[in-house]
Amino acid sequence: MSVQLVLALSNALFAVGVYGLLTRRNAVALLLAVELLLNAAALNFVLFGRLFNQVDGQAATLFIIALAACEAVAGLAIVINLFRTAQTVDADAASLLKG
Amino acid sequence: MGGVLQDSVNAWWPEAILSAGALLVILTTGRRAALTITWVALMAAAAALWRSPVPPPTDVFYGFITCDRFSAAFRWIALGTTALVALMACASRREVEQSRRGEYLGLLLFIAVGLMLMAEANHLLMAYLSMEMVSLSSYLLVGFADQRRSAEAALKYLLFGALCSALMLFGMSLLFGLTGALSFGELRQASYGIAGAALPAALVAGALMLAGLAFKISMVPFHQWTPDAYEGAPIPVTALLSVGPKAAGLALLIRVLEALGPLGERLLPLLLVLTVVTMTFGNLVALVQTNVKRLLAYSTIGQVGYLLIGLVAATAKGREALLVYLAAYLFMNLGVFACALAVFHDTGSESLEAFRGLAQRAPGLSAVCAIFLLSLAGVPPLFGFVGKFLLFSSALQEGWGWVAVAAALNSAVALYYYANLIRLMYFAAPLQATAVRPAMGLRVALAVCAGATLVLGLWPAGVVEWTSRISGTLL
Repeated sequence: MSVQLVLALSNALFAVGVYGLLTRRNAVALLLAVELLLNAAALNFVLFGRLFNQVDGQAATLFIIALAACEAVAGLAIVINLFRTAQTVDADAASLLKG
Repeated sequence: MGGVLQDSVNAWWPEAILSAGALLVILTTGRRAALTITWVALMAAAAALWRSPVPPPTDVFYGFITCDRFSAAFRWIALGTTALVALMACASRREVEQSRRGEYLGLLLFIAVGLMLMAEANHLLMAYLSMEMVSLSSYLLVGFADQRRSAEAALKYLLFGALCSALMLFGMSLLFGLTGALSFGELRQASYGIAGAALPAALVAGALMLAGLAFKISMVPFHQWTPDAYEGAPIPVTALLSVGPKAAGLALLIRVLEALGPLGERLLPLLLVLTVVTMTFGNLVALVQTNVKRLLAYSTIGQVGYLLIGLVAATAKGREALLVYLAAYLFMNLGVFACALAVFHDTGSESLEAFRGLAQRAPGLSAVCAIFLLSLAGVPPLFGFVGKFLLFSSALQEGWGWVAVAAALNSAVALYYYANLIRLMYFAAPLQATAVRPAMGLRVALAVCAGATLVLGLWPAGVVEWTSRISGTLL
């Protein structure tokens, strides 16, 4: 598979993630969009690591996968906390603060 | 092999102790046990940091982190911030439930470890991991108060932070693709070879990476989370966020710009403009705030603007000024937050009105509060003035007269809203007549901050000499 193709895929993933983060209102969907962003970067690391024949890229990817899981845990904890206090997971409804 | 590992562990005891302490504290349920473990861990870490070899004989952890004098200074700043915030957290009983005290203090210690790692990172992956360690713990801490406001603030902070850190990670991956290097040293070497079509791509990658760091130090245009997260979080957490990540973020930013080599130099003009925009924006919006935490949030943005002058100057002089001002900022800003916490404990209100007539109800508290505010405004002979003076003169030395003028004008604007708070304390009628009695922990924190702001302001020679030794070793 050519480098350009994989790069195009990771860029597309990144674009989808940013689009999702900007347009979605459900907090869980927003967390999914964040996962897409992280995986786009992880894909890049794998690709370049393979290209340069370096293990560093692959190692970085492993760390990113672990961190994405941590981020999901923290994110879901915060969403559940919001649901307990506000009975909603709609990010637009979270508007007590002036922003 | 054995030598490297041994040297690494020897240089890394403070972080190891703090991590172990954090894990233990999270498991405890009793209030007394949690407090004991926290303080033992903090003291042991301080002792280990005092004794740790600087610089260590070999590359620590195979060059993943670097323990030079520069990172040692930031490790002390991180430890000092955490200790003062822990004092405030112990004193504050209203905001966080007793049963969750252990988790609260544990996350605080984890942030301290993350902050230290940020200052030591010498590898892109390490930089990312340490920033996430700080970010994830602070998202959770912002949501710790038992209120809807706090939960919302945590969600906003999380989403904005996740976007910025993903931008940074994507920038890192592109930079890795362009140079094939991840450690800062190799990156610097490789960056000189980038030319032609790869140059614009590398600049974009560098700018994406700066986005994540700009979020951490709340630099415009990545500042939007600051007032909301500050308002929703428990006050001790707000105090931590306003000092710890700012200091560590600036340290990492210095190292990243260094690692980007010629790319970093090309990004400096952009940073210079953003510096002036950041301080002006923060100070102007602070003028119309009525909530003390929001006021301090915008004041933080303004202060970060001043600090960035020292960073953009990119000279030994600029870094020296940055370090001195950071030391001053640590004491005076945490001091103001301790005052706000004392007032909050007494009145249950975070509005500026709660400060009305404080001088009659608590003469000592208002006196130290006035000292901190005047120091933040940069009035001599307080410590804040020394740092500000050095920062502005580093701008003049670079020939940036307009930056120095903008910064001076900003200080005048800032003096207005700081003085307004002093006016409320001294010249307005109090709402109640009872005396304010701050808790023991708060008194200690206030005394330490006030003492440092006054003494180091009157005799700054020692600090300035110390920082000039550090900034000299970095270049």
